[in-house]
Amino acid sequence: MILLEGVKKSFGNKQILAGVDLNINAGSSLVIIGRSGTGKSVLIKCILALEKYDEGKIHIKGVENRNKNNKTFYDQFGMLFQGGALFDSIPIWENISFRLLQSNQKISRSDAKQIASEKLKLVGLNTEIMDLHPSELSGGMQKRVALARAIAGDPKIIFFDEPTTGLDPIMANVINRLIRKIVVEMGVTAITITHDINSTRIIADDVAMLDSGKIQWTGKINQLDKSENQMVDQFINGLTEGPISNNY
Amino acid sequence: MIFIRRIGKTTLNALSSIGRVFLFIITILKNLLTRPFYFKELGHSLLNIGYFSLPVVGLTTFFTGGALALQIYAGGARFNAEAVVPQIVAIGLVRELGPVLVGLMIAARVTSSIAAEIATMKVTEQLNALKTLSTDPIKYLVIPRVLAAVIVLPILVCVGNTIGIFGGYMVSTRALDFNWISYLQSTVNFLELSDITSSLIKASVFGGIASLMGCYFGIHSGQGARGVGEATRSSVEAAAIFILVANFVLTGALF
Repeated sequence: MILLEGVKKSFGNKQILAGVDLNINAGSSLVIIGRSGTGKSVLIKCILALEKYDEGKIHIKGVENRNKNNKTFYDQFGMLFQGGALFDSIPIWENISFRLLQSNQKISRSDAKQIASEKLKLVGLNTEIMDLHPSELSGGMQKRVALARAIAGDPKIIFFDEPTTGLDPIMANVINRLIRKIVVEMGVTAITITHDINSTRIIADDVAMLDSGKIQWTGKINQLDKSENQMVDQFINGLTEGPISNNY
Repeated sequence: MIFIRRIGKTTLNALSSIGRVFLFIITILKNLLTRPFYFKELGHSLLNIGYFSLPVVGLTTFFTGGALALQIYAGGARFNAEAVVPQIVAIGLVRELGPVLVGLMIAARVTSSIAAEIATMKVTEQLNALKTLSTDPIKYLVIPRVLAAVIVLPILVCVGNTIGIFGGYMVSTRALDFNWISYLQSTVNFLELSDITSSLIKASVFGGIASLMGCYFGIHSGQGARGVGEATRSSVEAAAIFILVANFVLTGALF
């Protein structure tokens, strides 16, 4: 469904992606792991055409994303941003239904609010918060609202950027299980980036490890602990000694 | 040698900035007449730029009109021309001070707020979120603000001119012993239609500049709190300078 071939990206003299090759199958949940600052977020932004990449090709459903149709390209995606990226100036329900309200589908505001209510329930939030603004919610609640927004348009592909960063372990577990539930129930293709091994174990069908600008290992989640890859072993065990450089 | 290199670098940076602003304007013009139109956002911007700027515009022009009357009276008294106060207050405000002062107040109040808002949206990834929700930030954020400023600034300048003339009238009739009927008659009889149209044309251009600079520096801001701060400062500086330059050019063209 998503195919990356030799994707390279630099910022100034610093090369972030040094030739990423990756194949993401339809309906699978891929988790990309790696240290902070290895370019995981940049990789997702390149796939979503939010960043221009320097070399290589990214095909989504057979169409290279450089040749995307701006009007329909993003309709197939949902995205959970690391900080939530909720719009401060509009209430929660409008945040969730934003895509529906702005699209050409002529959906009424009452229908949009109804859909927002259903999505809020799906992520385990009370519908009483619908008319509040994002700043009135806790970090965990904002994350769940952002999750509701990501799934509101029933996308076929969902990206999760560090979904549990900044959350306490219990809330992080709640979000992880929600993501897994959504992936299974909606049958979507999911790409998650994280450095949290616990999240990886709950969310992933497949795992890819990114380091030094390249994919160093890919495999099924049940192969993670017996990968026989030194980088993966070092990363999942948090070892300070090993092939992964400590220089950031 | 280092000095020459610095001059060259500064010149190239300035030229590339002008080029980027020019490309930004072209992007806006290309998107201006194509769907979708965000009328709700336009309404919000009209309210924010227009209605909520009325107090600051009113206060600025009222006191400027009053001070202008006093200055013209004092200057006119040196060659027995005190009677020209109503005419000079009117023409000074309508042709020059009204649009420029309102433009600069809008640059301070609205340009800074637009730049800070959009830059914060960029830093917190709300601009990327808009894109992933199939919404073009140029259409959703920039065009409503630029359109609203271009539409509403002439109205604000009309209000500002009227209040400024009223400030001059209050000072002249209360402190300088002018007859109120003759003051008003002198003002109305002296002003020509071309004075008002030139004022309105200037207002629209200044509105466009003020909003454009806010949007441009917001969208091209750097990362973090520093990026937001720099975007806000640069937007106000650029808006104020471009408004004054445009004022000179337009005054020459409409003279």
